[in-house]
Amino acid sequence: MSEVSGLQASIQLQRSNGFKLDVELNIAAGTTACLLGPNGAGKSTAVGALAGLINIEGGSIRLNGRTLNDPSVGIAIPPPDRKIGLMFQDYALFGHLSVEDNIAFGPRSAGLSKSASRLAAAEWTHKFDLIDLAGRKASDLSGGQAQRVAMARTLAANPDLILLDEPLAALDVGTKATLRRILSTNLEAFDGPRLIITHEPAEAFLLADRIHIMENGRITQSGTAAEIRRSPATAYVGALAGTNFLTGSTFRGSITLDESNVVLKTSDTTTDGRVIVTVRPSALALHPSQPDGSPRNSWQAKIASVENLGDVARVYLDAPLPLAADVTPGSVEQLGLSAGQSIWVAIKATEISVSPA
Amino acid sequence: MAELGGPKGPAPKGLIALAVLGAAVILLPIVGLLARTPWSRLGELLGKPIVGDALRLSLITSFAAAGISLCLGLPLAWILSRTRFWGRSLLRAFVTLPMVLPPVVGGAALLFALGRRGVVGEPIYDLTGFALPFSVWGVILANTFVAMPFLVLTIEAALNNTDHRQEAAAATLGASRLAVFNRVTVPMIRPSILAGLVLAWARALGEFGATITFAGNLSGRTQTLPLAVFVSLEADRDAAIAISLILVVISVAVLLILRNRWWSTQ
Repeated sequence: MSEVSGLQASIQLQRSNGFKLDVELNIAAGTTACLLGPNGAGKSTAVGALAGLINIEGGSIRLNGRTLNDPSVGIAIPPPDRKIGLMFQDYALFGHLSVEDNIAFGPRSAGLSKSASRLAAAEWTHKFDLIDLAGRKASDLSGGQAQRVAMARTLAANPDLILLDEPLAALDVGTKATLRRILSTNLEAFDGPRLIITHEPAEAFLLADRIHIMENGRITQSGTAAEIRRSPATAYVGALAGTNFLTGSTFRGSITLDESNVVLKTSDTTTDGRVIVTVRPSALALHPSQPDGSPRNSWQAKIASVENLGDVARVYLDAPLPLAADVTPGSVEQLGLSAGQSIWVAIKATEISVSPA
Repeated sequence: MAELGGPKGPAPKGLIALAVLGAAVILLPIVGLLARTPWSRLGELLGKPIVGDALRLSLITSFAAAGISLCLGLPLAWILSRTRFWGRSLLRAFVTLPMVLPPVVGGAALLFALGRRGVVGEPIYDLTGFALPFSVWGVILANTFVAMPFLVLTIEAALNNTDHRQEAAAATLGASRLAVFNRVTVPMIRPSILAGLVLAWARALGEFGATITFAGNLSGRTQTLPLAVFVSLEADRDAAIAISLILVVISVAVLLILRNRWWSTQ
């Protein structure tokens, strides 16, 4: 058996409805990978296969050099013996048990007595700031509390790999940002390979070291967030990777950005504080000279590159703000857009959306 | 309440008349029973040996049948719900058969299988001298035969409606299949287990046909409450009424216990 650490998985299977999954995933210890794709892409099936809830038909799954599933040699380790922690989309806590006993479930299953397992759980109850909730029924928690309990329960079982299936999908917008930060910190605390499933590009770009784009049961592109944004391989990736993410602070509609001294104006004047700014590429208008009228945001930018995506052309802008703009191939010709050229950029304040970071 | 619904207005008289008749068919016998009850002599009647013996025997056998139904029916329901094997649907159909089979036929079938000359009963009798028919065990077996399907169906329906992710989560946390069953599945469906248990117990308590066919009608040994009612109707009408009253009270209690399950509060 090789001494390779981390996860090496090649998952091939066919669901009863004919859906085919063929996915290759390698995740190094201490790094976070993300499976990003639309609903129905097969992400949850892939996670189920890793956890052993579904057996693969071809390929193999190896974790830290140990073969978990390999149909060619007849190995299929059942879920309890895989040491893979799986955090479900809406957490699947045991509603009939207390928070403490939910967290102690893993240690208890490993053969510890009731009191010894509670002792083991105490460490995690403490780490996740759940001491005050320890005696409460798990069915009686807020979304944020439930997420912390689910994470603590998963880690208390001492897994070699953790899988998080849409960890933020069950939360409302207000708590999402806070919990994403907490999740990000908690992920760092786990030193094995980590895999997050999501259909939200922002989550993938913010949480993952490496992103795997999944469409129709296959991975269509893998890379860092920057790599994927720079050269999207499919139309889907283009659409989602093209979405411009910026970070900064907003106050009464004025956004001070982290990576540039351009001040953006947004029509959202009620959100204040740290924000993620998103701008759709199609919301950027390009002009040969300073635009007339009064677009709230306009500045002069240098074009980094122009890429033809078929019915749209994507223009990547350089300093002062690295943004992508989608224009028609007609206007590329008309404006003679090419790399190195200077151009005026205009964005309406209503097209700049902010969400608390 | 302002609700969108079907057409409003007075209900058609024809429908009302039939509905009243329908309710009467069910209510009248109960009213008749209550009207004929000799309330002043009730205490004395309930103190009669035939009543006491039958009540004691009925309680023992019905609780035993409910307990056995739970011990065997819960695993059976789990197997039907959680595993896949050839003949599973057929097995489910057979498990529910006693619900529609005339109990007398059930009792006769039990005799052919487990009677002193039965397929399984004969070798047992030849070997040990033990025979199920006409014993308390016979009553318990007959009761279990008719009662267990209610428990199995109730629990299987609950199992099919549970969220499988909790069980999957337990498995990934290291719990064996048996541990998942004990520590997650059973607690999750506890209300349905209780409901199934009450249903099975009530069915066992009222069992007549299979009991009299398989276990006979021996006073103090196999004569349960329903059998005592049947016998007393000839010999001691008032005692029959008193016993019937006990069964009515128990039935109403069962309805009250299960009210949240069956009666909507509207």
